[in-house]
Parts: sequence; C-alpha cells; structure tokens
Amino acid sequence: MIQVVDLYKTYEGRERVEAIKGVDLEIRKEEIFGIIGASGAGKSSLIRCLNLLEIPTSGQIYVDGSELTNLSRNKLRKARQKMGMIFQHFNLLSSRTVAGNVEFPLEIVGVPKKDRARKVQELLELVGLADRADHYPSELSGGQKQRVGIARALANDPKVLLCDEATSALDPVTTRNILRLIKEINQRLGLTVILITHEMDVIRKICDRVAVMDEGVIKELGEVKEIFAAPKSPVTRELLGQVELKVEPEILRGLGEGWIWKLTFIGPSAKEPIISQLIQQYHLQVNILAGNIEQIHGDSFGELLIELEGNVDQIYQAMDDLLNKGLKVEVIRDGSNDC
Amino acid sequence: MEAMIVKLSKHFPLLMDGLRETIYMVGMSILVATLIGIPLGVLLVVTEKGHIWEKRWLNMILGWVINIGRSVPFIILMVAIIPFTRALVGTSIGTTAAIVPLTVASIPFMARVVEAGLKEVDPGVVEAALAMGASRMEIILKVLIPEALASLILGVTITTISLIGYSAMAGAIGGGGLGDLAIRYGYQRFRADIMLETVILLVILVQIIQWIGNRLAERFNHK
Repeated sequence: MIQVVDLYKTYEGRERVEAIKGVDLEIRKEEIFGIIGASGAGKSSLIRCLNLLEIPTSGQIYVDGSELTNLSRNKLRKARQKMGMIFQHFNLLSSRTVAGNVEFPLEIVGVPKKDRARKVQELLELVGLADRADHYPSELSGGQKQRVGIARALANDPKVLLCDEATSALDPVTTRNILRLIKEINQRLGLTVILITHEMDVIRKICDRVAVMDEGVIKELGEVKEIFAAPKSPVTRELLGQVELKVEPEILRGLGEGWIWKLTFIGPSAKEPIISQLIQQYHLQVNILAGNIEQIHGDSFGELLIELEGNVDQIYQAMDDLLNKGLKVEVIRDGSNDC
Repeated sequence: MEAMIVKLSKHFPLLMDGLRETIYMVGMSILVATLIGIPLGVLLVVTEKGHIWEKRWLNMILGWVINIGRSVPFIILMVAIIPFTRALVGTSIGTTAAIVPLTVASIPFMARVVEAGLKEVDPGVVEAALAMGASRMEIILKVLIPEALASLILGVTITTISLIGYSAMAGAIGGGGLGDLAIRYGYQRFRADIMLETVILLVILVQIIQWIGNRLAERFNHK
C-alpha cells in the first residue's frame, strides 16, 4: 500500500539535523502499522514525509502504486485528499463548529452542499458525536476533539489514515477508547493505518506490525508479538520498559551451587505450569530469582531467571523438555562442574 | 447648568460639522486601508520562511516598505504626497483630500496589525489543511482569516482609533474634523469651552468604536 524507498531527510539550518537516515519500509494494505521511537528518533519526520508535509531530501514514497515524490503540486493535493491524517493536538478549526470542521475537507474537494450535510451526519454518527454537531471545539473534551479529528480525516473516504501521536495528549481511558475506534474503522472500512507513538502500550493494543526507530533509522521491524517477545535492540527494550535480566556476580556469590537458567517464553508455552513441572516431574529444587511477563493480544511473553538444584541427568532432561515446548533456555551458570 | 446647555447648543452645529467630517475622513480611510492592508498582512505572513508561500525576498522588501511607511511622521507624509493626492482626487485641500494621506498612513499600520493577528493562528491548523489537500488560497480564505477574525476586528478597531488621532492633523490641509476644531478654536483662539466639548465628543466617539470592536470580536471568538 505504501512503500518508502531509501528515504533521507535533512534539515538545513543553523544546525544541520539528519532526521531520517535511510529508511526502507513497506506497509501492507489494511494493516495497522506502528512506528515507535523516543522523541527525536525521526518518526515524526517520517510520517510527515508519507504525505509530503515534509519534502524528503532524497528517496521515494509510493502510495497505492503511484510515486508521490514526483507529483505536481496539484496532483499532490489530489493525492493528499485520499490520505486522512490526525494529530496529537487535534488541529481543529476553532472558528468552525464540529460539523463545520468535518465539512471542511469536503469543501476542499468540491462536494455539493447537499451531499456535504449528509456525509457530515454519517461521519459524526460513526465517531459517536452526532449530538455535538453545533458545538465549537473549545466546548469539547480532548477525546471528543480527537473524534472530530477522525471524522474529518475520514471525510473523503481515504485509503490511508496517518496518526501522528494521536493519543499522546489524552488520558489512559480516553486513549483506549480512541484506539478502539481506530481499530474499528480499520476493520470496517478496510483502511490502512500508520501511527507513530512513543508509547509501547498503543502499539501493543492495536498494531499488527511495528517498526522501532532510533536516530533516524529503523532498528527493528516485525510482527508486534515477535518484537515484544524477543526484542533485539537495546532501544526496543528501553521502549518496552523492560530491564534486561542481568545477573550480577554478587547475586551469584550469595546463592548456592546450583544451575542458573534464563528462560524466555513466548505465547502459549507461558500458560503451562513450567515451574511446578520442573519440581514434580524432575524432582528439582527451583528458586525464582527474577522475572518479567507481559501480555499481548492475550498471549504472555517474558523472561524468568531461576536457580535449579538436583540430579544432573534430570536437569538435562528438563532442559530438553523445555526446549521442545518452544522455550528459550540460556544457561547462565553451569552447576554440573560443582557437583 | 442651563447656561451650559445654552452654550452647548450654540456650538452644536459647529461640533456636528466636525463630527461628520471626522467620521467621513476616518471611515473612508479605514475602509480603503482595510481593503489594502489585509492582503498586505496576509502576504507578509504567507511569504515568511516555512509558511505556505515562502518568498524570502518579497517578504523582506515588503517589510522594509512597510517600516518606511510607518516611520514617516504623518504631518510630513501629508505634505509629501500632495501631488499624489491631487492626481487621485483632483485637489489637495479639503476633507476628501485628507482621506488620501490618512489612508496611506494607515495601510502599513493595518498590515502590521493583520500580520500580528494571523501569526496567532496555530500552525498545526494550517498543517492539517495542507494534509487535507487545501490550496494556498483556500488556506488563506478558509483557515487563516476566519481563525484570526477576532484579532483582525480588534486590529481594525485599533487602527480606526489611531486614525482619529491622525485626523486632527488633517486641519493642516483644510480637512476639518473634530481635532482640527479643537486646535483652531480651543488652542489658537483660547476657547476652552469648545476645546473641552470637542475633547468630550472625541472621548465618546473612541469609547463607542472600542465597544463595538470588542463586541464584534467577542462574537467571532470561539477559542
């Protein structure tokens, strides 16, 4: 649906800022694609390049097969009319009512007045604000403002919805509602959604795939589940709020002589009572040292640091068993030498 | 008290003539100045760096010309453009002739006031309109001006009031008006009563204009 090829964006000014340093990206039709990064990572520049609010320094953007980067001014305007966008600060016209704001993009495209009123009504019903049509934005809450923003973005039946930190100015409950609405629209209208955020929670709740950005490049890209389960780059871990389970030598010294394993589990395996199996089936002594577990799309992901003591053969068997179940087992300390 | 009313009524026709002349001069000038000043103010904003029609040279030249216009003292401007005034309205003396320098003096003032008003418009809203595929003209007419309307109304109000001040000097070319009345009768002929009455009338005029401006601005302010 959207293809980004070798994209660079440099801001020339008193200080030269290389915001995007070579990004290649392919966004599939009808998926919700998240781009996450800390502020200054280049994600905001990237999403602005997708509808050419920022002109890329080099590289190409293709939307639905046509190259955006070499369109004339007029054709670009037409292309933008088929891409909705919502913003962190909503950017509604304060001089127009809710209905007037939603009508605005229809005026730009030149929809006749009669049809505009009907379309506005439809859109306001879709976002649940039909009863607020005659209010001014200043009379609305943040969540309601973003709903108006969404209705406005959908006015010209776009194929793509760009969300620029759309929930960053909202409280957690409102964020959840807005995300639900975006997901609903994505499914109902078959819209391709690209959102940027600095909150992992947003990604976890609605995205299919995610790209992690840092210092102007994409550090990691994949299915949300995979990224959550096994974050490769330190940046991703940081964004996940996960502290890598590090084993300090002091901790080891204070412990017994047993094995120390780090278990990484993904999805269904996490639901099995692994620890009790180790204890009951293999007659091992298990001591949990540290761990963290996250829930994504109903599955669990996490790491567990355990200390084991018992028969060496049993320990090897237990390890095979765990590996067969799809867990990753990392031996931090080998207890067999000490036995 | 009675004596005062008698006195006042004696000057009444004189004062009313002055008031009419002031309203005529200032009204016409503000009308033309608004029609020219708003487009100039818009141009000043949109040609700025990073705005929808970035033209650094045009912006710089426009800025200079406006600053020059604003730095020339009104009384000098009035005399300096006499040939222009004569070419435009056929005479360089009288109330109608005074409209020309008053307009010329208020255009740069108006342009700056409009510029300041338009700069208050949230850049995010302009960006949103761009993202929707709006053209430059649509952004100016449907976003910038409506969003800044309350500020623009207050700007026109301020310009109108300062024009009333300027118009006192229009007497130098026989423009008439209340200010001129105060100078000729009150100051030059030591008629303190007429001076006082004129000033009271001016105060009332300014109060009314400011009140109307505030009300209108309030009406269009939905922030």
